[in-house]
Amino acid sequence: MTAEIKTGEKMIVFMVNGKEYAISVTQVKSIEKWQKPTRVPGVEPYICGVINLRGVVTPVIDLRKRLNLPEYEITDETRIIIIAYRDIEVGWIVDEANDVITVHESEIESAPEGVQKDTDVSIEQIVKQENRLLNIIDANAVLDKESSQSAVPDQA
Amino acid sequence: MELTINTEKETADILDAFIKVAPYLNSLVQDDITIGIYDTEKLLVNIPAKTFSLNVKAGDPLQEGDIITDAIRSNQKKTSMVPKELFGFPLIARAIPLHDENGRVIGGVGLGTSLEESSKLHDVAESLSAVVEQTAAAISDISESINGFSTQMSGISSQAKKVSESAGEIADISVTVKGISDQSNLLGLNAAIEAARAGESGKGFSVVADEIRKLATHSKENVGQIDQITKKIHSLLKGLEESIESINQHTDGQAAAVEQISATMQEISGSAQHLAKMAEKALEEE
Repeated sequence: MTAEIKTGEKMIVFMVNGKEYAISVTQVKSIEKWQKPTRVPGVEPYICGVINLRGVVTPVIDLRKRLNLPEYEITDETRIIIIAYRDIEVGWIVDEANDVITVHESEIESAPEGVQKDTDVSIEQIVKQENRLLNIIDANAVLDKESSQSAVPDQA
Repeated sequence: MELTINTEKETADILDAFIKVAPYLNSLVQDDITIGIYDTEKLLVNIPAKTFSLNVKAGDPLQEGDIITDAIRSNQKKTSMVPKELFGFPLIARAIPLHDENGRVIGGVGLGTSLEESSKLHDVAESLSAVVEQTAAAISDISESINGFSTQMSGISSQAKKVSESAGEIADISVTVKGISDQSNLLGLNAAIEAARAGESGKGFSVVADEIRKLATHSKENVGQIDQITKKIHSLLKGLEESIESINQHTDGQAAAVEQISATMQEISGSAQHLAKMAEKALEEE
């Protein structure tokens, strides 16, 4: 289910609840400062609403809620990562996003069992760089509930 | 006082009577006195005082200008001050004429009293008064200096406040600079995303994006340092203000104490002046 990481691939690093996550730059369109989303009725609780991003109405997901993490107040560091997912764009609210790393194939490892077990968003791989451990999060795992739960049989 | 009384019966013998009595008088009076008894021409007897004696001897004729001479010739009682330049101590001299039963002047008695003790008292009182005045002046100098000090301290206090305001301005600016560095970092991130999306042709641009992010990180670190320094300045200024406050309390206490001393000195000065006046008056009344 996760996109294959090529050597020299750039990844955006962001923080949620004190943990560092990495997402392939190919799945990211841009990073924006936080702006208050307009609520939309009748959607999943982790969908905060929509923002108007330079004329494009973009739905926004609270990644903390999506990962079953405690709520956190909005700060100067809060960012919305705009994910290009299939044909639509979706914003993820994260605590911080201020780094880009270049990842090599040798640094990718399979995530140990039990990582992120509080949520249905599965973390399949991690990046190991010196003292740093980053969970590789995949846009599909977050956005496609069905596929994340039945990812392995589907892809296999 | 008895010396001025002429009894009618014994006038002829009054000179003899004085001659007999004179040696005892010094023991009876408080002051140290010398007595001279004269007839109309010369000194008959001179009784010296305990601490001094006039340079005269029996048989010396009446001297022009002596008050005893004046008293006998003018038939009037005379008093005069002899300044201390003459004998080394001030002297008050009194002289009275003596008469026979017909009222004729037959001689006179002169009495010299040393004013040394009173004079000393007067001198001490005057010098005390002078010392007290000097002290009062010195205290008033201290009081002025404390006031000046207090004014300077409030000047320092207001300058410290200005420094604090300037540090606050720096803090405001550093907030702006931090905002700019955040914005630059975001710009760098988005540039890196764009460069990655452009693939091979975006490689050069990705270097630029990295540099922008480095600059942003660098300026953010510096802003952090500026923040720490301004915080340090603020805490130092707070310490300074506390010190100034405690100095102000001390000077207030000093000012109050000096005021109290000043009031006491004024009282002492009044007493010293009073004492000097009393001593002077005592001297004049002799």
